[in-house]
Formats: sequence, structure tokens, C-alpha cells
Amino acid sequence: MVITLLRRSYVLLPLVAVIALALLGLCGGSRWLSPSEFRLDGGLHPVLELRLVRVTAALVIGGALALSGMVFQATLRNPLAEPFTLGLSGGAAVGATLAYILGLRALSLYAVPFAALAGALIVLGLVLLVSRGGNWGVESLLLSGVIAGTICSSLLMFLLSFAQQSELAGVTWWMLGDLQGVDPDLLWPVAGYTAIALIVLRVLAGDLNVLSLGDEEAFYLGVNPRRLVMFMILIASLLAASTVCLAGIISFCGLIIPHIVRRLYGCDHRRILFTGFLWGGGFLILCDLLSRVIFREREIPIGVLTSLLGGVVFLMILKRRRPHDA
Amino acid sequence: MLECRQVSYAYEPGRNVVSGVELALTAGDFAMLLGPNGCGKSTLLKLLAGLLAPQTGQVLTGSRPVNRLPHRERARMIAVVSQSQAPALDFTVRDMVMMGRHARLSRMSPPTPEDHRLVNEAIGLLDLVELSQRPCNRLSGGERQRVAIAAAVAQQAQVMLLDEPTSALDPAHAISVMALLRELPKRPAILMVCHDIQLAARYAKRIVLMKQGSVYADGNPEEVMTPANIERVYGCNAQILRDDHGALCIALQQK
Repeated sequence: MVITLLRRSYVLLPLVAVIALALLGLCGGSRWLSPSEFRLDGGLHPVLELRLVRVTAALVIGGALALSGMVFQATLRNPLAEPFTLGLSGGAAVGATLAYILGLRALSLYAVPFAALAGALIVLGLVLLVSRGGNWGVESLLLSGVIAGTICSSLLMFLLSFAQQSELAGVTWWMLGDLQGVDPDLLWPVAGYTAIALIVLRVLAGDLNVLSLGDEEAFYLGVNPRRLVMFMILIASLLAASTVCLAGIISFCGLIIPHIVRRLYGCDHRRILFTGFLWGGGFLILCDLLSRVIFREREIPIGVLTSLLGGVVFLMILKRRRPHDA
Repeated sequence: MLECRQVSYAYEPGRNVVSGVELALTAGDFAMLLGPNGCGKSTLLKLLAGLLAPQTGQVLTGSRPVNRLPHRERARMIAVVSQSQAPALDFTVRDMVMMGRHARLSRMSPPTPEDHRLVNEAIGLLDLVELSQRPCNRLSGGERQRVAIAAAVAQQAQVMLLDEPTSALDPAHAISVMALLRELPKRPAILMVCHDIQLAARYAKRIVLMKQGSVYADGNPEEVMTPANIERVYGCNAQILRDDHGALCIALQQK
């Protein structure tokens, strides 16, 4: 009955849940802040101001990662694809680590996020360039992405062998995802891009459905598959790269949320894109809240919680059989 | 409606898979494309569908080359049932049949009641009502073929091109699909690649027999399915019989 209710209210219930979670996220943390304390001396409570940025960042990043995952899985026709499949996380990690090791942080607070963004985009550019030989076919893209990711991993290990102890801690925290250091000046452009991407993807949702059937089928049903694959990969990669720029690498969210959403609401992207955004955002707000309240004195890296919580929820969903799965 | 003029195509230079084909499809045609493996049937279908561009000659609809039509316009005109794999995502049978309407759906509005009516009708015609909420990637090959045909029926195109649509169907469903396609109300032009010459001889109104990339014979089944033609194209002996209703039956024997 709960599942039926969830399926019918595919926008309203997730929206209400996200609003409730956001409110909890604003109140909860190392210190409970009741709504009556939100205003202080005619302005916003300083703690609330900090939490507003975090909760908004969690909503935007979680939503963007979920959208990106849905697009990657449909475009690459691979349920195991995720926002970082094409080696973006590897490129971002190499960029960020370089910024730490070269001491660029001392020059600007934006050095690490922009180095990460640059790393991700350089890898994406190389993957697209290499897979041009395969006419940007899905197999060619996937293979190039996996190889780029492997090369980046080796580069990362090489760079880490030069890192000081203090730099290692920063790099590790960043690689596990970090919503503490989200810069509001970076948050709003990313939120704006995510909103535009959501609208564009909704317009092209029917094409995305058709594209997931394969290039030939998509062509017969009225889509230019080569052009659309490129466009979708660009939109989704920029979504993922912009989240990396904001908060480091938050894994699993982009893999698991699309699966949960499709299990609950079906695969029609015309229905599930906005719902997926809400689920992704709500999931990350919840993980962020838990990361702050489980140990009051010490935050848990959000990537640890997304993997742990996401993995358990995913297993529970897999275990729950549908009536026709006999 | 759809016309091939001296169409040739080679995947490798100098090795034509389709060579100088002349073929015209008109409304109400129910034609079967027959021929041995590797004779260029599927390639010809892809050329007719606009997926491949002819290296010489043209495939035209009216006076316009098919491979240069805007994608959505082409899909509203030509429906193709290919030898497809199971979808990677868990689309239901109903979702898949609705995708047949893709080129006619608005990008922002949900499907209209007319879209739903046509999808329901196609699902009913292909005997898929009980499977309509099942994920398509958990169906058998034959069931998936019926889903693909239902999507093509829902597409309401003027031309239907089908690549071995009955290869995985049991005999009862194969016969009912043939009867259904033959009697489709809007009388689209249908061209179907087929390896079952019994089915072709019994149901086709026209048979196009291919050999080594060219059209060897083209006409009604009585004209085309002669022992001499079958022997020259397939390299086996054939005996032409008629059943109690006067329909053609072909008995094949090794030479």
C-alpha cells in the first residue's frame, strides 16, 4: 500500500519529504536549533546561515548527481553507469591533489575546486576526443572512460607518494566528499546550471527513453542518436563535474538513486527526472544531517554515509521482489 | 510511396552487398523479401529506412531522399521492426509500445487520449494485454518481437519495414501476426524480410526474391515461387503444391 501511494504521488510526496528533511537539516546538528530561534537580532541566526548553505548544497548536489546518473545509465545503456563512469572522478581527484601538493590553496580558496573542475573537464575532453575514432558510439565512450579512469588512478597514486602528511588529510577528506567547505559564491552558479539542465533534460526526456533502446532503434523512432549521445554526455558530465567543484567526490548517490527511482516509479524519464532530482537531494540532505549528528564532536565524511546508507537501502530494495518477479 | 532507384551499397570498397536495386513500395503492398543468408536483405531494409545512405542511386519518398528527411518526419512515415536486443532498462511493455508514438508525441505534454487509445489497440492486437505491465527485458524473444511489432503498429506509419519479425514466434503467433499485418486498417506499405518461405508463399501479396545483392524476381507468389527460381536462388529442389483452400505450399528437398 505504501509503495502504491509512493508510485501515485511521484512528485508531491518526494517534494513534501524534501521540505521536511530540509527543515530537519536546518534544525539538527551539533546544536539543535528550533524554528523560533531562526531569527536573531532582526537577522538570521549565524548557525542557520551556515546550515542554509549546507542544506541547499546537499539538495543541489544530490539532485545533480541523481540526474547525472539517470542520464548516464540511459545513454550508455548500462545500469551500472554512474556520473563518474567516464573517468571524471579520477580527473577531478588528480586536479585537486595537484592543487594541494603545489600549494595552490595558499593563493586562492577556489584553487582546489577549480583544479578539480579542470581535471574532470580535461579527462572528459580526452575521452570524447579518443572515442571520436569510434564515432562516439556507446562502447567506445565506455571503454575510453574506463581506461582514462585507470590512468588517473595511477597518476593519483604517483602524486600522493609526494604528498606531505597534512596534505594527505585534506586530499582524503575531499575525496570522500565534504559539504562543510561549500562556498556560497560557487553554490549559486551550480544551482542555476542544475536548474537549466533539469529543464533541458525534461524537454528531451522522451528522446532519452528512446535513446536507451540503442542507436539503431533510436534512429528508427525519430532521434539522431550520435548527436543526442554527445549532448547527453556533456550535460550529465558537467552536472557531475560541478558537484565535484563544490564538494569533492560524493560517490554512490548517482548510482543508487536512479535505481531506487526506477524501481518505484518505472523507467519513463518524462515522469522520473524531477522525482529523481528530489530523491537525490533528499537523500543527500539526510546523509548530511546524519554525518553531523551521529558523533556530535566529529563529522563523518558524507561519502562514507552515502555509500553505507545507499548500499543498505539498495540491498533492501533488491530483496523486495515484485509480484511478477516469480 | 518509397522507391529505390539503382541503389547500391558496399561495407567494404568494391564488395557490393546491395547492387543496382530497383524497387517501389505502394500503399497496401504486403511484400516479403526473400533470399539466402548474406544476399543483402537486411542491408536493403536499412537503406529503405534511411539508416544507411546509398553509395550510388537513391531511396526516395516523393522526390525527397529518405536519408535526408528530418528524423521525426521520417519516423512518422516509416516504422521499422529490427532484430533488437532486450532493453537495458526495465521499461514495461506499455512503455515500449508508447515509444512507437515518440515522433508524434509533444515534448512537454503527456500522451493524449488518442495516443493511449492507439497503444491499447496495438497491445490488444498483438495479444499483449496480460503482459502490458511486465518489464520488457524479462520477456522471451518471441514476446519481445510481438512488443516491437505492436510499437510499429502504434507508430501509424505509411510504410512498415520488418526484419524477420516472426523468427522467434511460435507457429500460432506467427500466423496471427501475418494475418494482422496483412489486414491493417490504414493499409500501410509493408516489406518484410523473411526466411520462412511457406509463410511467405501463403500470406504475401508480393514476393521480392534477392540473390547476391540484386532483385532476382519480383511479383505475386505464383509468379515468383517457381521451382526454377527457388533452385537458382536457394540451390535446392522445390515442389509446388496447393492445400485444400488453394494456397501455395512449397516442399523443399536437398539437391
